Amino acid sequence: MLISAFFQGFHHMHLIIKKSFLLISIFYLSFAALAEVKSDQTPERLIERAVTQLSDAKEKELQSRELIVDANKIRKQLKEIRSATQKKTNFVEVNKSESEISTLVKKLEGNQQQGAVLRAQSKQLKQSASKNFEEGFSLLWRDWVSNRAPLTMDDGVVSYFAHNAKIRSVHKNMLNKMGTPSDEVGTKREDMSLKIPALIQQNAPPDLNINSFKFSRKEKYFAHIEVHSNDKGESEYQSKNVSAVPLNKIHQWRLVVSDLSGKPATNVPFEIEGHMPGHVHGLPTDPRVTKEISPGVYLVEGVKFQMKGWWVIKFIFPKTEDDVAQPDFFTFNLVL
Amino acid sequence: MMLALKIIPFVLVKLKKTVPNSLSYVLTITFSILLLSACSGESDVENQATKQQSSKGELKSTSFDKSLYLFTESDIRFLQRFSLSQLGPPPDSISNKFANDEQAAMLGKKLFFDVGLSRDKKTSCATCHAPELYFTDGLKLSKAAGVTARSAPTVLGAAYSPWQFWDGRKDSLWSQALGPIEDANEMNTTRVEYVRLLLTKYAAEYQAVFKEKLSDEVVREKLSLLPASASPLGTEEEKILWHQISEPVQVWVNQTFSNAGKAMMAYQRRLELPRSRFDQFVDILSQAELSQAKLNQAELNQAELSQADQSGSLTALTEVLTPEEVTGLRLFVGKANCASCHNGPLLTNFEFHNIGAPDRPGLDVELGRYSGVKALVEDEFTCLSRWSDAPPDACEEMRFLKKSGPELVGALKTPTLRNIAMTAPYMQTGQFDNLRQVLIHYNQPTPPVYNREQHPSRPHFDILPLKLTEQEMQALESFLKTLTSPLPKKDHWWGLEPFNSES
Repeated sequence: MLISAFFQGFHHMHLIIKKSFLLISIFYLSFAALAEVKSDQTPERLIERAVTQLSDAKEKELQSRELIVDANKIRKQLKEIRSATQKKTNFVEVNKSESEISTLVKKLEGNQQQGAVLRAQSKQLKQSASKNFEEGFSLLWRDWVSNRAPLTMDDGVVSYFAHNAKIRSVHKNMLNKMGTPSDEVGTKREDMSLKIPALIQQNAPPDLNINSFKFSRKEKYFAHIEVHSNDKGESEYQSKNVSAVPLNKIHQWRLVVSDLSGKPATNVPFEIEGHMPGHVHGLPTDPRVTKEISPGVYLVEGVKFQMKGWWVIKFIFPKTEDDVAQPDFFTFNLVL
Repeated sequence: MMLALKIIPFVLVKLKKTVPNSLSYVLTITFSILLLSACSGESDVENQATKQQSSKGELKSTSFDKSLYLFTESDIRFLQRFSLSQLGPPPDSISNKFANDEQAAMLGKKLFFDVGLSRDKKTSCATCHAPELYFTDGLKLSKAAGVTARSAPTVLGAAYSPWQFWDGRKDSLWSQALGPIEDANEMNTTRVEYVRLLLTKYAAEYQAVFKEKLSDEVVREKLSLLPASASPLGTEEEKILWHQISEPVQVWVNQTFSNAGKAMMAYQRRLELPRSRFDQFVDILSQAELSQAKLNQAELNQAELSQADQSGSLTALTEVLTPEEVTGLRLFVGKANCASCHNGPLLTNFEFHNIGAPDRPGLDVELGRYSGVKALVEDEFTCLSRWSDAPPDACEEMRFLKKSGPELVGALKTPTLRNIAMTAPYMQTGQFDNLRQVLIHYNQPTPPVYNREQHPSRPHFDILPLKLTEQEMQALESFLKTLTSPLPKKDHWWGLEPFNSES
């Protein structure tokens, strides 16, 4: 559209200001270059690139795995040769074995190195793929993606904890072997004299992916979650902070799902599971997908979090014939 | 209890917010020491020296550590969350549009105390929820028409809970109030009998609140259509009689019955907790913090500070809580981990946990929330029912009720610790006679016994041994006693005034 508009403008100008033809040519060329960059950022191109990166990543991962398998074989071979060499007394034979060993060691090192490089490349490619897909996805679904930041809990919310005990099921045989809650008591907060027990095992690992955009486990779909506001257009639960979920209040989410071509994944009867990795308890409610408010846009009702901390929410696809062990699913980590 | 501390200037001070927290705390102590030194006229005394000096006779008791009473700004903010000042009014009720109606509450109070509404004319709600015992009955299991399956919990603070009963088998106070009426061990009556009495004894009040606009004659005529007793929850005979009543009349009975519950809920929402010693303690801390904030604004004017009323704070604090009680408070939120579940102004998170209180021999195993959820699904008076004032879509707690999960088995609702010293015995069947026994259990708990015949899965167990010393347990127990509100003799909602229970 922009280009054709420019063309019209260009012709118009061309007719009127013939003298500045050269100048305009230069201008046109630079614009064309710019347009080239622009078209590269279309959702279709972004998604296409993401998918290419994803398959490259898979390829590299596969290669890496082969190298590691191969390395394991070499290691086994080495072990055998080494133990055989120890029994040998013949100098020539020992020498021969040793050169064989050094060749294998070199090969092993090469495999390991190459495997590690490939794995790192694969990881990076996946990250880029995810980023590009997110970009494209957000453009395609711009009516439904209004918050791209990870979900948080409003900091203004007054709550130290709902409970912070090591809530876990203790087998009676283990009763005195698991320490006591007071083991972790300490003045972690230097501004407090009260020795409040540390929030045990609730700290999420630092490199945890808390994106609100995720590929499915089998990398066949892509999804995004965000807090859904009510019909009036604003969420009664939310403050100014659009990425914040409320504490201890039932609220709604939108789950937006597409396939790898960016087309909506429709009519999926998702199952929802959730838990806190630091506690042996699931969600306090039983949230469900209640409606598909637009193709690929699912309304999730009944979501509630009774405490801050690290939560994991899974959206599980129904099992298909292709699924050997488990069906495909999305996992979202939330650090609230 | 008075401690002669008036001379020692005491600084409960925090510096400006711009000072980093940790630094602020260190500075606070340093500053306090400096101030102590300044006022005692010795420029370079150490803290210890000050202690020695005070022991010369200015201070009667040096047997406690004054730092016990020293709370930082963050400490105070944390403790405020347990104070009644933070409570506010009960949450809105979507299923009861009369929840805040004063007239409904007045009627509800009458119903709550009226023994004439029970079948044997001896039992009212107050039989097991007696105001002078903080709305409990002091019994292991309650006694009315029979013996109940669980101990009567207090109704104080119940208006704030999303679930009622130990196992949360009711989703509102109005629905809860209807349970004991028809329970064979409690009021042992039926909704038909109850509604007849309600509309005879309290006709005017009922009409004034619920505005049914039925003439006395119509009401009388409707009542005449009813059998003497009938209920879908009664005996076999009462069930048959209930099913013989025409549907529109059944609806009218249920509506009237629900309204009685709604009036009693409106009543219970009026029950306020007077401030306990613990609340007063936090109030004093907050005020001291406030006056400190003002001082901060005055750029920490030394002259102003020197004779400031900080010395008053410690005196006031020691008058409210003893060192042992403050030690207990620190354990409560700290090592003893009580605040883990007993938090907020009502000292409960209203969640369900299994602490493994031993099952009483001869009774069925405690299934807790597991059975509570089953009962909720079948309950006829939930938020989702036609007797509720909420559109079904709005009943989200019921629509998204968690119905399964190992954490439900044997889990019971965290009770409030308000007035806990006055509401023995403890736990759902009064397994523990006194607070000491409760603390001993928490200190060295026994996991629930897995009964393969009765438990759907191994019962969850949510606590770990605390390993508190004898002294620490004593301190904790002392602290729990500071949570008692004085009985409000002049608050007419409490019904502590001589009250004619017959109407």
